[in-house]
Amino acid sequence: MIHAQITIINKLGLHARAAAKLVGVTGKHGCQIEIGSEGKMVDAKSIMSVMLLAAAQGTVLDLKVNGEGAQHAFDEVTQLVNNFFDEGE
Amino acid sequence: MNISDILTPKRTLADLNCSSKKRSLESVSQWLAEQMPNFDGKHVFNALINREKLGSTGFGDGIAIPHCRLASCDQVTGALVRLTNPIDFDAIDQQPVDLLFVLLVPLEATDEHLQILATLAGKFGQAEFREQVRQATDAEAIYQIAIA
Repeated sequence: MIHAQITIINKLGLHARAAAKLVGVTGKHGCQIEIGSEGKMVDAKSIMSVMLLAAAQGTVLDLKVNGEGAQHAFDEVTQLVNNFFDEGE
Repeated sequence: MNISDILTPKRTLADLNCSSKKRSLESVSQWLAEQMPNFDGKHVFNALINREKLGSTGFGDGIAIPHCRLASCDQVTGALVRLTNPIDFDAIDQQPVDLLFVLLVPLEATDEHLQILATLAGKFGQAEFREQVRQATDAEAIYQIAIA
């Protein structure tokens, strides 16, 4: 299992479109992916669950990836987050 | 942030009959503008449809949360609409949509917007809540379920 922290850096945070993009990436992978903070980890493949986090810019989230292809999934998720969800800011 | 902060009984609609995603957004925009003089129906519709072009707000399980930021909006304004018949909404799960929660958001309300999305996700993410809204007899009943 991979367990790491990622910081939401885009200006608008994990709003609906960013959450949809995240789910678009996580949904391609067969492994289990959870995101959130201790005590409130949610399924990163469910957009409703991801929006529950209300993660604003600067929020540090835990990312847990477990199962086959975990490293690949982890890399893709971190790339999306660190690339400001392709929003440019 | 509670649903009662952004929704009113007047902005809850029990049975809107429309044939497409575009028509539903058009009708809802017009309907909202009739109730709220600070909104222009055409303007609201354009903003909502432009947002949909960036990716559908059909988030699965028959739920859509069409939303947009508007300069003419001074506080987060919600409207809950139940459709008579489910319509294609390009939803994330490819399933037709029959419940719309429309959100009009001021330009700068970033954190508030996230809080509202979380509140809505908490409600509409529950199968039981969705079922109650679908079974409700009229708009007033839907409103009471939504703010409970």
